[in-house]
Amino acid sequence: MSYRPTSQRSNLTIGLLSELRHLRDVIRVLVWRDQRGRYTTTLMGVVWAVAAPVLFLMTFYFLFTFVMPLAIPNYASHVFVGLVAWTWFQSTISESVGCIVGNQSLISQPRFPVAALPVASAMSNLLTLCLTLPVLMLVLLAEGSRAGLSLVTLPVILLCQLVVILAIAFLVAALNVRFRDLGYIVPILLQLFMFATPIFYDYAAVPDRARAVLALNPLVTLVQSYREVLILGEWPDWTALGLVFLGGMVVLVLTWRYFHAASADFLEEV
Amino acid sequence: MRPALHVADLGKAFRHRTGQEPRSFRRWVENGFRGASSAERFWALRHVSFDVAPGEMLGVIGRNGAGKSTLLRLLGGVMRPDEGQIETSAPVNGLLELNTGMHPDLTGRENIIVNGVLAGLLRKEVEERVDRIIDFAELAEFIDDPVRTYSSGMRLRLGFAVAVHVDPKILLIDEVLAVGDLAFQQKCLARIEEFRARGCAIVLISHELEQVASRCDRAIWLARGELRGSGDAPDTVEAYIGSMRAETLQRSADPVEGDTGRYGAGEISVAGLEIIDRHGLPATAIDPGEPLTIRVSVKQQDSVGKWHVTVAVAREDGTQLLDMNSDTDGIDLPEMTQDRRVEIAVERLDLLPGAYRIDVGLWHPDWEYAYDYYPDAARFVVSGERGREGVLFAPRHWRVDQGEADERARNE
Repeated sequence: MSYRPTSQRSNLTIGLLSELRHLRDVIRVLVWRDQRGRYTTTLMGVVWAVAAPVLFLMTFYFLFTFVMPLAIPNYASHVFVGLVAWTWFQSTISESVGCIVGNQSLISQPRFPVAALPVASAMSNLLTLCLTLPVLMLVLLAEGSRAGLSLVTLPVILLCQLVVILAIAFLVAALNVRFRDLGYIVPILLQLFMFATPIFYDYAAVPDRARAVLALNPLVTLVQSYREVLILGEWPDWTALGLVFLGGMVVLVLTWRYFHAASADFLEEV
Repeated sequence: MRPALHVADLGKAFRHRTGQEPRSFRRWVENGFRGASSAERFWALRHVSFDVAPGEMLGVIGRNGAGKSTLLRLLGGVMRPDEGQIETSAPVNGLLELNTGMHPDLTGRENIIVNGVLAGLLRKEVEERVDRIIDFAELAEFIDDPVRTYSSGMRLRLGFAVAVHVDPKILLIDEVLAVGDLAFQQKCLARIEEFRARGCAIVLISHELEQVASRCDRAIWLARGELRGSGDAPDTVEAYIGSMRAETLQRSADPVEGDTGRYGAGEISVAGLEIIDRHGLPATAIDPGEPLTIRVSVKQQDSVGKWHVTVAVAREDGTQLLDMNSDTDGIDLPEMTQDRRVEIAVERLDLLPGAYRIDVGLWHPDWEYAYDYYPDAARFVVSGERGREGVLFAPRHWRVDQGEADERARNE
């Protein structure tokens, strides 16, 4: 008995290149559909994209400037930079949990590249992040940001964050197909993660012992790097950022392989 | 010629859903991090081999659960076979579920782009074809309106138009041909013929045996996941129909008791039939125009998932006067895991006085065979003066023109 399972997804004769081009188009179309579905007009899009972080910003600003002063300089910028980066991470991960289970008809479509779903979610939320940039710039300018030449490293930091996001997104997307209660667990974990990320507090003020734990959170380095570049106008800590990138890549390769292996059975489990 | 699609000894096994395997993270932790044990597996498909040449259309027939959909998913590459191999000479496209990626807030034109890319085209390729697609869908006037304003027929036309502009080399079709109005259906069939003429290999799954017999070159017949027959489409269809008939007869538990004409496989059977009058009491006679409830008791031998029940009122000579069935009435009957009772309340039965009989049937969900067909299961009488011609007793009033003299007399 020949026992050679072949999957057509990898068996296409049209070649890897056109498959990649198709993947790119699928992601683009999914992002576009998602964005067009979310907002009927571009203006409303900006308003809604900005509304949530701005509300958070106002709450934190009120709390930690008037009620319990933390005495962090440029506090509005400090919080907003953290929030914008966090929102990208958080929205993508919570969307990715259900992206396979909720798209059964797409994954049963021949030639649909399933891996496009988490990626599209990450890209769509990156786009939303870009919509909040004008407001972020206003806040930064109002508080006298010293941003300068080091702004050129911003894409690098964004790339590092994308790697971290995708590494986790692939994992939760595939895992949720088998363990359906992940949809309840992930929001709780995200909440924990949020407090383990210096969004409204200052990492410098964290005691050493706690830092040992927080240092495991890649978002710490990312948020710190954004602040260094956007608020202080300094160069990011390349060692820390490099570690996040490399670590993220290693995990991404592992989770992507898990996702790929599990994807053959998605339809059976959904 | 090299086949477009070569399938050799294909097999796919599914795990039985025992309810034991952890479906949640919590259960998995509680089970001590143990996954599903090598639970029982059953072969949804096994030892299936066939070729489809370019330009050939292969029909796949068989009952529900015979493995047709599994085969399609394996061919489409969205599921992984456990045994055997599939070799394809080109990417496989599907005409399976239409409108998978459609977003109601996007316009028809935008949805064409989305659906086209999701169906396997590059964005550039869809953009080149967009005008032809709009033309085909006959939606030019509405194409820039959001799809949520479309009727369901318009959406289907849009979905189909996109799907048939992918220019496939290998195409899988699942039932969808039965949608839309007749004219559009013809257009789609013509389009599929066009593909075929251009050398596209087609695999068609259909319950419409007629269609398979007339359109396909060859057919394969699946039963319980295995190949029961293959060959020329009309021959295979005929063999399949023949076996279905034989099966109904063969399954009949007690062949023919006397000459009642009762037959069926007997997984579930009619245990009793009662006629209830307007007072809620069992009756053997009602008055014309009175309500009538027919209560069927169904006995369960083996459990049966879906099923249909038919109840017909007939004259003593067998002429059916009223045929009621749960399928066309859209009634979803619960699974037969226990004995059940079904009641049909007929609001009024306007039949002429006389004697009538009731035929009851319990049927396989696809109407393939009878679990129990029980003609003349009960009789009842509509009381009144008999012997009139006709069938119906219509409630009525007479009005007769009395002439002018009488009219005036009455008015005074």
